[in-house]
Amino acid sequence: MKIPINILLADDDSDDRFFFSLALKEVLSSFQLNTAVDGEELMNYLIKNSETPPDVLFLDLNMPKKNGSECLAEIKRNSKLKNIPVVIYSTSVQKDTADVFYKSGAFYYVRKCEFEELKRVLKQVLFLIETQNEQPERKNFIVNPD
Amino acid sequence: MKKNKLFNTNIIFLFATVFLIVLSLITYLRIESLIDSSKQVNHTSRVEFGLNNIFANLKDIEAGQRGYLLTNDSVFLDHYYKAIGNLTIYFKILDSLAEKNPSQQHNIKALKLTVYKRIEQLKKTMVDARTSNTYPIELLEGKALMNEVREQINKMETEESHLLKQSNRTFDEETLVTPFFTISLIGFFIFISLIAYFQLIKALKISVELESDLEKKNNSLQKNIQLLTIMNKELETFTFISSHDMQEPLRKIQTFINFLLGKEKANLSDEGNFYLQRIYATAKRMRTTIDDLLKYSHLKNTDQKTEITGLNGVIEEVVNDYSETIERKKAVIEVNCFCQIRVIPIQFRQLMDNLINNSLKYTKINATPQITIACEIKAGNKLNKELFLWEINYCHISVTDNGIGFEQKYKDRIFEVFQRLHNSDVYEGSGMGLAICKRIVENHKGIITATGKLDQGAKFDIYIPIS
Repeated sequence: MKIPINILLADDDSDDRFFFSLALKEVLSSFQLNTAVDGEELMNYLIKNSETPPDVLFLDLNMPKKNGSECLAEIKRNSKLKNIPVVIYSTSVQKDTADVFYKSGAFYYVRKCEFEELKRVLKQVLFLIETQNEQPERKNFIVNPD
Repeated sequence: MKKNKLFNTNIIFLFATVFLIVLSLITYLRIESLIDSSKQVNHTSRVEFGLNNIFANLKDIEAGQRGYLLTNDSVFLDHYYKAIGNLTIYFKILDSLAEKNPSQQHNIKALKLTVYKRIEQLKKTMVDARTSNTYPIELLEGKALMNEVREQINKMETEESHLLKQSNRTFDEETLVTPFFTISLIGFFIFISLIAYFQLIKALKISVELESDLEKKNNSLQKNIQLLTIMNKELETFTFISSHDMQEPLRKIQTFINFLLGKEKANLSDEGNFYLQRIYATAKRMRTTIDDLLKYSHLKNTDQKTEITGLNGVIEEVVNDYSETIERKKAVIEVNCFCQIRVIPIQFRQLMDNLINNSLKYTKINATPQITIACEIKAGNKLNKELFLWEINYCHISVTDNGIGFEQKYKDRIFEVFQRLHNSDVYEGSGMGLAICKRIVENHKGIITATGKLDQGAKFDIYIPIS
């Protein structure tokens, strides 16, 4: 893995993008963060930079223009993008929807939470991806359940 | 109205039955009178036959006597005696025929008297002629007697024919009246039957209409129920989603407040810090409320599986979670609960959590908080008949404390959503705790009741049916 780690965040909520980058700053000494504010922008960015894909993609589900699950499906269909580790980053965790994303090939599911928890969870997920870089067992899919 | 119709139909059928009976009776009487008439005809001819024979035999006797007197031949005497014998027979016949007719009986008696008087006369003449050779002087007297006999016979015949005529007249009258009456009765009967028929058809139509109406209403009721279920579900979903979405901005507010209270604390005045503390507390309370609302709406959305659970273990776990508070408040908790029953574990844990939390929250300042949790299996027939099923056993879980209690008039209100008896500044809480408890107990098809007295503690009784 390249250093610094190249992280991509797709989230339409500016506050959440702010918290996310703030948390990263407190967790990692160095990193590169790119953001997309909706699904279309995300896909355009990915296709444009397909030669240098991100090390991990944090994907919000509820986004304008193209939602998270559409993006995930497109990524998995695209041979150049399908190996990008995708982490679902969303508010609601419902068992049946979580199952769908697990089957679609997402690595982890991070529930949006308070700042301190977010720092802890980000640290954990980034470590797991760096060390294992593969889809975990289903029971470990949701990193911070309700 | 329905009753009235039924009554009308009954009346009509009653009339029809009565008329049928009357008709039968009339027909029967008519046949009877026909038989009577023919009997009367027969009777009259027999009486006439008897009377004619009596007269003929009397003539025979006369002839026999005369023949004997003229010829002295005993052959005539044979005729004479035979005719006398015949007379006796015919009188007997007449007697039997006049059995029911006193007037004719009287006439027969008179006739008999005259006839025998005549015979006596003839006899006497015969004896006289033998002894004194005086020749018949009785001719005129005899003729008179014979005339009397004839008159009497005529009289009897007249009477008999009068009777016959009378009977015939009644018969004729009946023959004239009866068919008219019978036909009108039959007509009336048919009329009534028709009315009854149409009434029945009408009633049947109405009943069919009512039935289809009922079916329609039933269908619309079913639809309404379906709609209501859908709407209810929508409402639950709405509650769930809205409280879920409310969490989002609230989480951000809390995060920003945390930033302010953390890094920026030094840059704020004391007053600013105080306001921020208040905002933080308010946001936290709102968070609790939304969390509880979510929990509450979630309780209806999920149908979780039940498991046989040892209640003591669950309760001990919950008590352990509160060890810090228990220590701080120096509370004494006694758990005596060895029932193993089928419950939804997470929900039951939540139930006990809320109740213990309540008991630990609403404590009196100057007394050692004491909480007693006990379980017991009870038969439904030993409990309140109105609330419990007779044939089922219940696990009765009671949570008793010596806290501030409540007024008994609030015993139902405390289980309602967002109902609080205290200001949140004094005792914090969302007002959802006991509503959640109630819903959990209802999910277990159980009953929860609260008894309390102000400043004298509260007791919560839970009854969960054991299937």
